[in-house]
Amino acid sequence: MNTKKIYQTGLALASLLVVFSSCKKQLEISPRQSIEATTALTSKDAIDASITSIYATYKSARLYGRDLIAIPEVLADNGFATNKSGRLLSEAANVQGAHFTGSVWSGSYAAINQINNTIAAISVGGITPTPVQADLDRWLGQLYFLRGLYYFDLVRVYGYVPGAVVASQDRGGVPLSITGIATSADALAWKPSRAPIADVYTQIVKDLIASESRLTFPGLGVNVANKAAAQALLSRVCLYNKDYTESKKWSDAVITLASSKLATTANYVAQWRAETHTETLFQIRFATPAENIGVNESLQTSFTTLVTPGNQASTGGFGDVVPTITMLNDLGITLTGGNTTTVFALNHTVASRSTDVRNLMFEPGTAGRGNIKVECTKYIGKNGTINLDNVPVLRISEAILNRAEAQATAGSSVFNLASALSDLKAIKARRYTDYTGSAQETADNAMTQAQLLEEILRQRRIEFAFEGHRFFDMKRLGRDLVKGPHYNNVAFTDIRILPALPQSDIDGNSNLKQNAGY
Amino acid sequence: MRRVLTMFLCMVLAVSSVLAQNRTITGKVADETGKLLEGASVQAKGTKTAVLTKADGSFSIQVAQNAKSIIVSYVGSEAMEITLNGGSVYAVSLKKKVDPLEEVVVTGYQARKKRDEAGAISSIKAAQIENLPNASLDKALQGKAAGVLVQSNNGLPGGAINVRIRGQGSYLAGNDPLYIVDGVQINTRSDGSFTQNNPLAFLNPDDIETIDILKDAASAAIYGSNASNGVVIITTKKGKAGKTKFNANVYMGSVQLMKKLQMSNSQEYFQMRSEAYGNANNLPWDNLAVLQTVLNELRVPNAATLTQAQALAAAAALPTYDWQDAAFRTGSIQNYELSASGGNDKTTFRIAGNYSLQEANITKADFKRAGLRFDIQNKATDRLTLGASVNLSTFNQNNPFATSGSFLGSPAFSASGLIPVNPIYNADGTYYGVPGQTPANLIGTLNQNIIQVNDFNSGYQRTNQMIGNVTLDYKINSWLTFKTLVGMDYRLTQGKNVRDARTADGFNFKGNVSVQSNWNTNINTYQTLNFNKTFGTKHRLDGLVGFELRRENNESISANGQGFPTYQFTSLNNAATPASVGEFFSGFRRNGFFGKLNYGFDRKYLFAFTLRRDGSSRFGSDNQYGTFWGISGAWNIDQENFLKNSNVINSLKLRASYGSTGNDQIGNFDALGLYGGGGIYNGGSGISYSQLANPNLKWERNITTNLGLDFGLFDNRVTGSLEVYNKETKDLLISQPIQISTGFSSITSNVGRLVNKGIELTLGGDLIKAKKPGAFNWNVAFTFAYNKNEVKELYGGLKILPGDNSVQVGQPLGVLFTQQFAGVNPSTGRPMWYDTLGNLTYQVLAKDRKIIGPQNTPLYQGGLRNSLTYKNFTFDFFFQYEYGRYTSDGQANFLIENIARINVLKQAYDNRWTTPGQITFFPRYNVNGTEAKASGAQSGTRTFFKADYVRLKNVAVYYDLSPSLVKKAGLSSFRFYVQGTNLWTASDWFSYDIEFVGTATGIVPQTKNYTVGVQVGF
Repeated sequence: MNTKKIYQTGLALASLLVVFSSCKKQLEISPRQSIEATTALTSKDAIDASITSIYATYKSARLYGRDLIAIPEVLADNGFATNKSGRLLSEAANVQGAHFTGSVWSGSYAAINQINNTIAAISVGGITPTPVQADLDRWLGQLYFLRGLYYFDLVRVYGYVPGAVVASQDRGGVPLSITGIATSADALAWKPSRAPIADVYTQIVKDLIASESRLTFPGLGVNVANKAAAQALLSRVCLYNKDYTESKKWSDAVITLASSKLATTANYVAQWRAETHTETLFQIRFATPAENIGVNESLQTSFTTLVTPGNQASTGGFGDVVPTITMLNDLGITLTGGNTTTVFALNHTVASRSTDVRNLMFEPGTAGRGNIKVECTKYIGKNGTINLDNVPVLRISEAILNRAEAQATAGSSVFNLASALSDLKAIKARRYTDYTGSAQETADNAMTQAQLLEEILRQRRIEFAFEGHRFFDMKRLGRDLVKGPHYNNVAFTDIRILPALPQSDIDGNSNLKQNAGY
Repeated sequence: MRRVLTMFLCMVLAVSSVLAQNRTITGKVADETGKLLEGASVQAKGTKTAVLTKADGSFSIQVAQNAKSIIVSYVGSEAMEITLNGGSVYAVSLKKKVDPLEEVVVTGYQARKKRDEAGAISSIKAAQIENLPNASLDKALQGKAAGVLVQSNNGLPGGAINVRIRGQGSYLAGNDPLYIVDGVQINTRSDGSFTQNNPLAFLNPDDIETIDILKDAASAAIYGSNASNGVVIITTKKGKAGKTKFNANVYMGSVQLMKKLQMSNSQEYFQMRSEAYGNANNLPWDNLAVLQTVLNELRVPNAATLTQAQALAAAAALPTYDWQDAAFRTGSIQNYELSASGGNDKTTFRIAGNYSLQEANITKADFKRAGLRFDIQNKATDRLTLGASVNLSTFNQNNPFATSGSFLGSPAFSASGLIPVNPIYNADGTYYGVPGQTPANLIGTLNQNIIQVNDFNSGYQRTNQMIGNVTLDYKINSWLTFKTLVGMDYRLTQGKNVRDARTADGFNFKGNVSVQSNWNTNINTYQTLNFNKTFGTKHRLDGLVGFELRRENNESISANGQGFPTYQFTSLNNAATPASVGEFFSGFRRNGFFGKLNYGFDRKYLFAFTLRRDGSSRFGSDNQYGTFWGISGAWNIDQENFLKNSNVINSLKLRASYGSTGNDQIGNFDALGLYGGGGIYNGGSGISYSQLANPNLKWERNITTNLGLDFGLFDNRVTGSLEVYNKETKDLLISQPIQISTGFSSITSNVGRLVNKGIELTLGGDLIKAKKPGAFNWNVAFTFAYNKNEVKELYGGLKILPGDNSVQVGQPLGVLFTQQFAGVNPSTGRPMWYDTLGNLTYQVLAKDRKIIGPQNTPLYQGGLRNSLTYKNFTFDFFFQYEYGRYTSDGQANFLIENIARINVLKQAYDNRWTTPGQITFFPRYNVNGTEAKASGAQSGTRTFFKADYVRLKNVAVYYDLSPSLVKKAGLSSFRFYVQGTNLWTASDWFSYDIEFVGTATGIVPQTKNYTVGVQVGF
């Protein structure tokens, strides 16, 4: 090799080194579908988008997309699992472990952390453009409402309800986190224990009151939090909490604000065929085809094989959960041949119906998935596509029944049978076409306290059939689940009333106590 | 006495040689290439008479009149026995002696002789993988190299293949080896949305010359951060100087279902469904209400009015239809190849083209590939060599309904479980039970007419791939060369999937069409300075230093539309509702400096040192760079004087190595704290905190110790190698669970350690060695590998990874941790398990789970290849085996359910519990699935089985036309062959097939293939 060549080679190598010397820079690449977390929540649009995601979480099939609606029906005595797809069979049979899944836990806490981080971002400030008071009220009103509702769902699923506790099996409520976790270090250090049930309810009420004072009605509509929704939820939470005075107070407030929305016998059916039921104070909206949960797990497929009401020729979903015999009895539907287990096992045809318009939401499905059953059509693709339905969470009629119950419960601080009866009759008059002036009305007028309370609860079962109330109503009242003739009964003291907490959180945190029996 | 005898014998021999009349034999000795050899020894057999050839290769030797043969030998060549047939002039052509250690292996930026290499490297030659109907090259590795476990995920042609070199070394990060084709690093990620499109299918396996697999860390360390799971280096065929040679190869054949499942018939189904209703309601199965309910389900008219006798008669009259026969088909295989190669001393080239079609045994899955390869090398000057190669390929696959899963419309899933009462066609030949008709669906949970669904649905996945490189070698001086390579791997994956408006999944949407387009750009370049210098006669130094860069961008767009005017319209243009759109981007960057130094003393003692410093964009900002290194040594014992002349040991080599490699096969942006899309609601699009940052995230590091022994015995009639290794993974990347109540589930962290230990044996040789060309020869090659995996450590002193019980300290990764099934209670027919105390229970709890054992990965595996040759015939057969795998078959689990919502395997039906006292594995039927106050029938180990097998993977018979006939026909070679794949399996697996990875639910099972082919050279 002569010197010239050495020189040339050296030059070539040196230039290569220059090219590749900025190695660190070469490793730079950024994601495009995501942004840096630390500066994400610094604009008004970002705060709004963050709040949007908190609502969107509710659409999960593990939350209001299906489970929070369908599972309470089968765990209790409303729903019979048909085994048409095999789903919800074990839940209906109260098999140990078949209950709400850990996804209620994970979904809710993800949303709660998002809420906490968003509240923190708002309080830290530095948001551009600078928010005005109306922005702050709109944001915080919604965030406090959502945090209240997420915690309410968490605590009523995983813990006992105040006043209906099996003390030997009580492991408390759920962990309470009201400050955001935003770093790995914070996340690794988070080893909470379960807050007492009462503390969780106190926090829920606090959040909802903070929400109620900031929101207006109708505000931004029933797809998002509004003043009436906060009041109605307070009415329910306080009823669960056995705080009848507060429950009545918030019932009064929301009835004043929104009682005009109550449906009548004449327009009841139409309300359940419209995208939004007029009685709705808050609903989870499913609008676009991309939001469709689909043929496996949507509420429509869970409850009916029908594509459209009355058309038995066209099969859509599975119809996995149908009304039990006792549910049919309460709805006033009699099958051809009578409401017996033998008849129930065969193809259903309806022999007769009572004058209750609510039973018009129940009709025979198709033969497409096996034997025809009477099915619930409250979710029937109302938003234009099969399996796409808004999910009502709070309806005004609930506030009336809440108030009736609060005033009819023995020992209530607002005990008032006459008012309770009046509320009950207000509902019944809007549901039975021949109620006013009927023998039934006369009989209702003569009810004892116990009879009145039972009738209020029976009306609640019918009114909110297949809307996710029944199991929680039984649970908050400490009642046994009477599941005959389809299934074995489950005593209130049975450990199967509570689901298991996610095992991974138990494994990783000795402070967290698993529910009894798991 | 002995001495006297010896003397006597000597005398007899001497006398006889004197007495015999001699004759003169002359001739010339040359090597294979025709080069005349000086100094070859020519000896009359059985005598001491020997001469050496002269410079012109000629010899002249006196032999006895009755001498039968002479023996010709030469250093480095195989000795040859020449039969004397009466003539006196012989031309002898000696074959080069095959010394396995003199073969060249590609070790990473370098090609070296195996004798000079100290690492653990397995090589596979073209002959071992040629002409097999494998769509992708990874599948061709199966059973060929010890310690390389190859499992097909399913039977989809062009589908995903699972390759594990020396066990599973990572929990969270990937376990795929690094693939390098002619210097270009290729990823194996399938980007297709609608079917699996294995990127390695771009290359026709017949274009491969060798595959070298770097198994130990010291060898692989040159690839640093990518090399933890081993490196597979593929070298394609190149042109050779000389007359242009053409090679044509055609094979065709058929693809068949290996096994049809024996399902219950309609009467048996009726029986079990009735039992299921009866048991659930405490009624006898033949209770009239039960019979009526079931008949009604089965659409027997007026079932509710039948008497018991009528009901039983109606059940007996139910027809049985075979949906498996309707769904599965015999597919065809076609493969056409033509190549031309040649050149002169300056330029060599090879051009090759191929077209290949493989159909699956089920509609509509198939694989069509057209490929073109072009390769050119040019010696521009004595110092400068330029090269370029381009591989263009396009493969087009028709989409199956689904690649796996329990989809009702998927024939692979539903064909076996459909209730057999369902007719396939109406009397008029139209499809039975389709939307818009009466009935609008089939009876049972599997309610879609899968034949109609698959006839009407359409869709494809097309992958266009361009892989090419340009290289430049500049010889700076006699010992120093500069090399550069720029490679590119560009892949465009496009697909479309149509759920036809007439089928169940499309009916309510009036058609549902999705499209996808994904493009992946992978650019890879390296520059090296290679040196090779001998000092004195004994010291030899070679090696390289270099720099490498790789960048990959992956982007895609997708769209979905619904609501088409008629089923004939499937273009998104015609969709009434644009249901969704999507866009995606990801990518990574890597760069690294590396160097390797090999030192050899007298080719006896070898040492090597490797170092690489690598950076990867995937890690935390503080830990992007890692250093990896390897050291190895070897001793060629056969070169020692005490073995040099051994007749038993021809080659013997002891190797040892120690080194570290890295693994960065994690998500491209796992270290960052991110806000991402948070769903849509009420017309708005949300954002949410999607990932917590971990700035400390760093490499997972593998440290491997390897000991190896290579040997050749009895004139290299027996060759083999033995490897023992210990592969330790440190800083194990784990998805570290955090309390879900934080709102997150895990962060990616380096917390854990695991070890893979194993033994690998490769043994080959001639069981029967042909004495002369054309005689019977039986060659075998056997591989065996044992690998034991153990998790050694988890963060925070934990014994079990929270949330994932399959990761436990002291157990193999993925250990099965569940409740032990205890069979069926003979008195009640209900399934039982063992609780923590070993008592029988109907209801298992989380605490009853225990360690059952390893699952999914075999402990022992390997292959046995036999090659028998006689005259012009070659008969090859190849077995592969796996032992010690324990797994669950999702498809079978559906088919042994005790609900009877779908049809059930005949075996399960026959063995179901019916009467008290019966001992069986299959519980009684119950429509509720789960008995009251009990666990689900399929809980615990009930669905886990041993998956050991031996499979006759390949059988081939070749017939080569004799050279003289070939010459007469104006050809250079002619070969005819018949071939079969998956012909026989020893296993008691009761589902479609034992060869699968992951779930078997609804996968297209492996197939049995037969092909015939012709290969012509001219």
